Amino acid sequence: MEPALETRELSVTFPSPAGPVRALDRVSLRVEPGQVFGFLGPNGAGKTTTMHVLLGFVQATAGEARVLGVDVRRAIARQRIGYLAEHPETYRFLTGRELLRLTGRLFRLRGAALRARVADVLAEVGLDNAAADRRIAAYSRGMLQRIGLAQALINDPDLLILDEPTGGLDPIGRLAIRRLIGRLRERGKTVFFSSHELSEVELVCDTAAILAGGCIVAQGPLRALARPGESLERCFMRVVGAPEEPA
Amino acid sequence: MRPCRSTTAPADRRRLLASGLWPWLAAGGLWLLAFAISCRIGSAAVESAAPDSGSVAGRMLGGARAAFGAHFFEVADLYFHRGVEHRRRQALTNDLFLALARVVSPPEHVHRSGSSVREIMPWLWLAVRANPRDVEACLVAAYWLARDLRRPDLALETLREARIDNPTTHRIPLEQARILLRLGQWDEALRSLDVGLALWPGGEDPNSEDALLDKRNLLLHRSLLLESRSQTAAAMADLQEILRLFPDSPALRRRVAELAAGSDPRESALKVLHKLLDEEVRSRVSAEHEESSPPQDDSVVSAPLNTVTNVN
Amino acid sequence: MTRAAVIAAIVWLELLRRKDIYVLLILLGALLAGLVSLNVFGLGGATAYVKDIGLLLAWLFGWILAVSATARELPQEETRGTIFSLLAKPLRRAELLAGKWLGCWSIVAAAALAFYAIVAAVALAKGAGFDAVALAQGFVLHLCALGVICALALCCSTRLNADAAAALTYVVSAACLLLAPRLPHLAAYASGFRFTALLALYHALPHFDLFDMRRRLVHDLGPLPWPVFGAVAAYGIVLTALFLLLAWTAYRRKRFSRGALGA
Repeated sequence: MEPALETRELSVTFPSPAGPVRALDRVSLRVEPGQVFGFLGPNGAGKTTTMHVLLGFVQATAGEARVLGVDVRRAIARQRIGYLAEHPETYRFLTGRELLRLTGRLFRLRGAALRARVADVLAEVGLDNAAADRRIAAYSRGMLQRIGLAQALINDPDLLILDEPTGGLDPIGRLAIRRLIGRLRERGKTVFFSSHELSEVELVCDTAAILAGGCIVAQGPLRALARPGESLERCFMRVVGAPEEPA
Repeated sequence: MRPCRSTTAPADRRRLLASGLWPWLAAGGLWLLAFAISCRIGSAAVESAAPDSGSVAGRMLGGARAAFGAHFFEVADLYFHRGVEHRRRQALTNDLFLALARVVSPPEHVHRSGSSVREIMPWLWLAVRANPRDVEACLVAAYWLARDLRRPDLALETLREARIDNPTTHRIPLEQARILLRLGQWDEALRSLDVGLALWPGGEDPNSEDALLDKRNLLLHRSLLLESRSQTAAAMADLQEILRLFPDSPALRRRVAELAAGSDPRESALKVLHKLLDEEVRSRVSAEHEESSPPQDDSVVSAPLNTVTNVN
Repeated sequence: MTRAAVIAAIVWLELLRRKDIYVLLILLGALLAGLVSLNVFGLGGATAYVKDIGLLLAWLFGWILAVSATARELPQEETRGTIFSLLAKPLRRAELLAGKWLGCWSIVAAAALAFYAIVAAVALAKGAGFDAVALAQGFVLHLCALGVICALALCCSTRLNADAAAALTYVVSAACLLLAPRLPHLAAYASGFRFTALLALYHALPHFDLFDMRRRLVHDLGPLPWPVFGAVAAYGIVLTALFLLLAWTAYRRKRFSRGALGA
């Protein structure tokens, strides 16, 4: 079966005044369809860069990346992808419903199908009609996150890429995200998300990869990553080479 | 917790500040000096023409009023030529862009006439309002009001207001006299001519061609008017003054001789006066026709709007 | 609805809700109302100046709106962060640029239509009229000019921030409109390298004066011959396409990365 997401020897080098900076160094990932994949790493490891390559924001210097069998450099690759940024920003002069309708049209949804889909995703993320018809400028942090998720789900994507989806959310918000990921998994969707909340990752992910210094330092099923009796956090600290906590 | 204190001594800090600031102060000072000099130079040419004004706008704009006035006068000229600018010498002859531009903004020389001249009046009005000291704009406005627009009353009103702002020039009384003569208001015309001659040369160079021609016109109009009132001696004195300035005028010499001999001239003074006034209009028209023939000079090819005629 | 049209719709909604256009419309109406109340030497009947100043204001406000609206579109997407959610959709960068241009140009065109309607109404109230065909031609060519200006501003904004892009567009378009027509006259008095440079500059710069039919409209000189109108409109379309192509070339591989080096 074709993987939902695959990178081979992916490298990205950025120019900088002090000389070229290698942000990613021969990163090879494979995410099977239907998996919930956790993408972990310390700050500056290259997680967001990897996501930006997958989404076409950044061009790889070497290697290749494919999503759902399509080269990421092609715009059509994003037809069946949904994306939620770490700090989701959107057009604050629009209402929630307008944003979803316009986003749906970018995926060539129209008419009754579009209206039905908008209603479905609003219900999915827990935004009522009153909120949907209010300008986004008036939304709270949690509502912004939810409308961001809604626009990521509008095209019923087969692959959902989430960058720190629970960042800044209260426990209720984090629970809602976990439940959403669970529902998507049940529907056979693939979820690829990065997070610093290792406890969240342990609760929802099947497999994970740990990135450090632009390289993959560990990858595999979650239960195989950590040693017996080792928590994911300790495993993370070990593989990235973080100093041990004093006893 | 105490706030952090600087470890640099006060004298050192002042020295550091001075050493860092002095290039900026020097540059700022030089810039201010250059700015002041440029203002002084830039304003020198305008000062003499700057309209005195008690209004707030006038005080705020200052010398810029003259620039606005000049711009509005140019727009009036452009309107007179129905949007066609004076032709300029071009380096290209068979260029596509120039060819298209000539179609979009036609360069053919046309003039407004008759009642359509009223379209230029708003710009002349603005020119006069912006700079009441612009005598040329006032005279041109009065000319068109009296002639093509057939509103000598408005022309005289305009000239009356212009005289308040320009009390020393002879050109305004001369233009007033011309209009009054056409209206048959002889007494008022004579008074205007007397004023004009008293004011001449009105701040201009008395030996310049324009000033001499203006004096000639003042004297000629007055002499014909005096002659029509049988004040022959005074009329002759004016004619002889013209001959002193322009010796080569056989027609005037003949007229003086006829008056001296006591015989009636071949043409009465009033008839000559009317012919003179018509001639002034005709010479303006013929100047317009000369403009539409191929230019001799490569630079500017049309007479401007403000050719107030002078009799040959 | 094509994807470019969706982007254009977003631009429309934003500009309409910003209310810049309404301010300009009100300003235009107020200025013209003041103009028609001038008492010119106690004389009535002059109307050309109303048309002239009205059309000048329409051009001026259209220019300001075109540059200010277009120059900030792309930089705003980046500073807001909305560029990421846009590009995460199956949207080519060419479609994004086309949509931005289409949105800005169409709303500026709508504003220009309103400006022209106000000017025509005020002129009619003053007892003057426009030749309908000439007015239609003048309006269409004005739209062509606005299209070029929008494309130029968009091109500049692919690599500059909003203020720099706007400033550069203002300067270049003003130079093209005011300076370019004078270049052959300047070249006539030049020689050697200066002569060649001036003529090269003349042919390289866009000729906005070709789109300016105000003199024909103000002085009732009639409509343009249709072949000339067609040629000038085609020139405008070519210039617009050229600037959009330049914009795409600058934008197609532009890296968007928010904190990539820190993640």
